[in-house]
Amino acid sequence: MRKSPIASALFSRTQQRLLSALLLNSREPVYSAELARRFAVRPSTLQRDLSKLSLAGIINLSRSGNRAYYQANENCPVFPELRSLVLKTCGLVDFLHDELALFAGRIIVAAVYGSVASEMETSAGDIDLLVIGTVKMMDLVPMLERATGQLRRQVNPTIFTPDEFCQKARGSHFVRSVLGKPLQFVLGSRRDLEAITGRKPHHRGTDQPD
Amino acid sequence: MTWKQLLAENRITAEPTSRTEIRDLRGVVLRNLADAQITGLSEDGRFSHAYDAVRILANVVVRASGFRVKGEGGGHDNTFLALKVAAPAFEKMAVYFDACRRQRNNFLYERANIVSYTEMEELLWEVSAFSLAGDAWLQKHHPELI
Repeated sequence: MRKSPIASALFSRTQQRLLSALLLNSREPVYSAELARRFAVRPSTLQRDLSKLSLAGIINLSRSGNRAYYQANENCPVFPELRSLVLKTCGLVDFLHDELALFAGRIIVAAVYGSVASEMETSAGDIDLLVIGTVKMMDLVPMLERATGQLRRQVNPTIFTPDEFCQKARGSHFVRSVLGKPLQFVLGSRRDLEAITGRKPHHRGTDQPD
Repeated sequence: MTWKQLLAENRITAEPTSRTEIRDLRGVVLRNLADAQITGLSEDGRFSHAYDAVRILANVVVRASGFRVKGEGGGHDNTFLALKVAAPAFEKMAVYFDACRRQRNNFLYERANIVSYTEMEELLWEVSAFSLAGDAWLQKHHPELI
C-alpha cells in the first residue's frame, strides 16, 4: 500500500491498511488472520485498531466458530465519505491494481511514477502511470473513466512494449529518469523492470511496497 | 453533460456553420493525417499531427451541430466534452482522445520523448477509424454540409 501524506496525517499506518482493505472491498467479510497475513504482521497487531473501528461502527464484526470476520459497515453515516477519502489517498494503488488486473496477462509492469510516487503530489495532480506490455490505451478507457469518477483525478498512462522500453532505457531521458526515481508498483516489480531492461537501474530513493 | 450545461458553463457558444467551413476543416484534417504518416518524423511529431487531425475532426462534428468550442488555448478539453454530447456513439473515443490530449500536453510542456511508438501507432489507427465514422455521421445527420 502506498504512503499518502494526507492519509498519514489522519490515520496510523495500520488503520490505513485496514480501512483500505475493508472499505474498498466492502462486500467481502475478511477473517482477521487473513488481514494479518496480507499485511505480514501478527494478528494481535491489528486487534486494537479493529476493535476501535468496530466500536465506532465503521466496520462490523461477526463470528463463525472461533473465527472473527470483519466487514465495512455500509450503513455507517460516514461510509461514503470515508471510502472516498481512502480511495483518493492510501487506496490509490489498490484501485489501479483492481482495474489493471483484468489485463494481467498483457501487462508485465504497471507503476505509478512522478509526483504521486515521490509523495510530492498536490491533492488534484494527475496520476502518471507507466505501463509495459501489449495492452492498448483504448483498452484502458473504462479505467480512465472510473478513475475520473471515483478518484476525481486524471490518470495519464504511458504505454510501452517490453522491446521499446528496453531500447529506450538506453537512450531516452524520460525512461531513464522514471527508472531512476521511486515507483509505486501496481503490477509487477522492480525485478521485472530489470528483466525487461536487462540491467539493474540506479535509482534514488525507495520504492513504495505494495 | 448536455448542450445546455456546456453553454451555461461557457464552454461553447451557439453559432451556425457553413458548408465552406466544414470543407476547410476537413481539408486541414486530411493534411494533418498525411503529415502523421511521414515515417521520418519522431513519435512525438507524428502523434502531434495525428492528435491535431483528431481534434479538428471532433470540431467538425461540434461545428456541424451548430456550436463553437470556447476556452483557453483553443479549448481542446471542451472539444472532446462537446463531441460526447454531439454524438454519444463517439463517447469511448472521446475519452481516449482526451487521454491523448493530456499526453500531448505532457510532451509539449513537461517531458520530452514521452510518446511511445505503440501509442503513436494506436492513435494513427484510431484517427483513421474516427475519420471514417465522422464522415458517416456527417452524411447521416448533416448531408447538407457535405
